[in-house]
Amino acid sequence: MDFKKIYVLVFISLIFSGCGKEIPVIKDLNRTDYKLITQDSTQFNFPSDLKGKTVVLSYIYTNCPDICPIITQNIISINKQIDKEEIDNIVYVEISFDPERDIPSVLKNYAEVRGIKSPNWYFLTGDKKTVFNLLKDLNVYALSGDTTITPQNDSLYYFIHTDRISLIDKQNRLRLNFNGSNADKKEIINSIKQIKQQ
Amino acid sequence: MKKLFLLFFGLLISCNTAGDFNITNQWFRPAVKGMNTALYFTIDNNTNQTDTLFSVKSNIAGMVQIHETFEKNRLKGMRAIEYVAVKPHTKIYFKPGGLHVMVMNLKNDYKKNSSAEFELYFKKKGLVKIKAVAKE
Repeated sequence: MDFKKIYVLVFISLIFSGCGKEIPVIKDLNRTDYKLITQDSTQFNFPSDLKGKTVVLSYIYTNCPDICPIITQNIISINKQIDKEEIDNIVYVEISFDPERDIPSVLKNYAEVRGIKSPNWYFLTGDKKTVFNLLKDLNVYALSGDTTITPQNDSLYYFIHTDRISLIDKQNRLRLNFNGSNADKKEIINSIKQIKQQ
Repeated sequence: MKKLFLLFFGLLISCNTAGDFNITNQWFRPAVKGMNTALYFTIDNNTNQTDTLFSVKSNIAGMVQIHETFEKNRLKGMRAIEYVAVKPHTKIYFKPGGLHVMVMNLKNDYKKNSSAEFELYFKKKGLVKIKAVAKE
């Protein structure tokens, strides 16, 4: 083999070495399993019940009028494109950081009013301590904001919270975090495809 | 003299081109009874005066407030604001992730394509009634 051919081969291998670049692991979530409840009131073990699936994960509270519905709407768009491209084994998980109010029936209403019917879409709630331990594990924060009292004497509350969409791989490892409400959906879809291969 | 008259006439016209003041693109997110939603719209002030939105009311909710979304220490939140001033010949966009009208404690379910009426109160224009449709 002459030098010219060797140079060409080295050049080609250099180009392709960048294509399969491994996305770093942010955190291995296998160390602790959290017992949560779905919108259908069934038990859900996070993350062990997700093993073997690529997960699009987000964090919401259903009384949020602006940021959280935008996050959910972004995931609906991602889900539509994923289905259109017939990419299988993708699961969507939204964890409530307001578990005391976001009981399963409330989460079910939140899903239904947005037309979310996919069996691969889980809205999760649970015991407050369990949920907050999990959120801490995921480096997600939700702080109670001001409470407003309505003329009818009802109290209304807000959270100041992390605005994020995360991707978890088939081995239950947190791989990527994205802005949730201002998500670059194309980038997330490309990352899902990439993580699915790893 | 004729030129002076034409100039004066022209200036008179330009000073009185008070245009329209419109609310467009109004919509709100579907939500169920007891929950909150957000109302969005565009205020198009094509007049020569600043106007100020200072209150929004609707009988579909327990309470309605003008809100803005903010970011602090990489966390997102909302807060009530007292008013929004709309300068002459400008548009103000109430849109997801920014200014919005927080419609709290809904009295009924509002599913996709349902509609609701809102009253917007401006300092100069006064009451502007709008009908918005629920959509995502």
